[in-house]
Amino acid sequence: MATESANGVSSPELNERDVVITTNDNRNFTVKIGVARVSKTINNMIQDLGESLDLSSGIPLPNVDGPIFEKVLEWCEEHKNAPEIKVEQDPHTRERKWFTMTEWEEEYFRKFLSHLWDLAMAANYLEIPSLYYYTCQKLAERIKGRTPEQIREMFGIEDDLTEEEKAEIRRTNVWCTY
Amino acid sequence: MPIPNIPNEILHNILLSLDRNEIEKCQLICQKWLQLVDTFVDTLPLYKISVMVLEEEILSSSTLYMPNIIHVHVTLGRNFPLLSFDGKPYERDENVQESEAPLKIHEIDEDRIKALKCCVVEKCSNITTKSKNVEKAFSKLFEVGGQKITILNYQANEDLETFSKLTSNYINVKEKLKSTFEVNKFDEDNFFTNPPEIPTPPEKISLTLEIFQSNIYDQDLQKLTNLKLVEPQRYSLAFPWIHVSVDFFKNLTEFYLEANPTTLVNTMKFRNFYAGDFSDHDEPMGMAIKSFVEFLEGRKCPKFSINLAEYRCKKEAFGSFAKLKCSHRKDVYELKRTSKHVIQVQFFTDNDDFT
Repeated sequence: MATESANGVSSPELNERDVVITTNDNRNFTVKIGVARVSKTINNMIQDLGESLDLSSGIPLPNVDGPIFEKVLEWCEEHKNAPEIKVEQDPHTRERKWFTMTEWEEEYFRKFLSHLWDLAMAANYLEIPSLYYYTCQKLAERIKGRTPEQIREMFGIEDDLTEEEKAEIRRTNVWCTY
Repeated sequence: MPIPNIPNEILHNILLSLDRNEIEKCQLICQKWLQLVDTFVDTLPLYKISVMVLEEEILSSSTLYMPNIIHVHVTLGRNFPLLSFDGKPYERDENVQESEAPLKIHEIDEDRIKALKCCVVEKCSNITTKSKNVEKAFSKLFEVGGQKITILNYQANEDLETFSKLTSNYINVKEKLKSTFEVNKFDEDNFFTNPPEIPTPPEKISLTLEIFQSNIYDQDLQKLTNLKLVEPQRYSLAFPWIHVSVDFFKNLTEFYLEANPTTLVNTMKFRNFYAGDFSDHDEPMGMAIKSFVEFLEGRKCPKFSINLAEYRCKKEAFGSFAKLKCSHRKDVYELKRTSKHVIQVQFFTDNDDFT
């Protein structure tokens, strides 16, 4: 019965079953439940729907488009059995300790370097901690060591600060080496 | 990679992976990032200053009619420039009481002192002087710059008053919270955006006492109890003098047996320097540890139970200790009154470890 198995969180048979997920551009993805569950948002939907879950008619994802979801699925497939990530920070400076990425993960981000913002937003909405935190770290990596001008150019940000404002920032940030 | 309309939550998460220097640099990107850093400032990473040292310097003037100039220098370690306070000269101005004379902050340094709010200091210490200027500088730094210090080494002057004041903030945490919640000051609506400031005490506070002679007097010990320490396990007392007699340990033990254990410092540090003539030893052993062992053996500690396993192992090591070079060594003993109340006695042969 679909009802019981949909509620059984760790049921191996259920993880092997397919679910259809529809993105906001009306693309249908047929995904193994075990893979889709890497997203906590989708997992919750599957559990909440319970008996009313119709695996064939699918789950709608109004906030994610097809091309990005495809990339997210690639991550989920690779991380379907991965343990929860551990976010650690320096107890004194509060600086987050950087995660060590596998060769596969490094390659993944190399491939989708121009989609980091979309991936971060999708991972945040879909609640995939590993993808969310790792993408944010990749973005931090892009910012690190670059000047404000270079960052603006890289992200296409308009410079809307006046010279006075910039001078004031420089004055108050006395310890900063730009 | 153009930036779409990114929610602040994500930008905040990115900032958490950067160090403080990068974060301040990001403020120069645009209005949005500037405000972002402002909004989340209480959660963002801080600068790390590894050592902060407060030291007084007296510049003698060239003429008789000009008073000496006093500077309190604050050394902040590599990458951070020196901070200076101008102390009002006290010696030649008899109308101004030394304790009343204010410390002037250089205009240029005011921003820098304020900026200490975004720093965490790993180790902070002062170098003893006879004047109160260093103590005043300490208070000023705490007041203006916040108190995020991991290890505080405080060298006490004649009195422990300033130290009490410095630590009173931590002591009053409970009262402060109580007044925040009970009196109408409690700002319910903004509790999460503007939470009440709770001072966090350093993880370790070492109080170095120059005030005692090797004979420890009751009133001196009484002062320690009067400090009203919160969580005394954070604190350690350091005795820098070289001659520590057997009687000192005897008095100390007796005092500790009678006093309320919850108000007493749990760790004692001694400098274990060779002092005196030990002609019957190949290598001299330090005076402090020698007195301590004599005390342990002579007194047999009827009320204190000694951590025997530790003592035996240390005693064995002691035989060979005399033959070792006395450097980079730290000996630790434990005196147990109850399982909950343990005094740790530490001996340092290396000066750097001690301070």
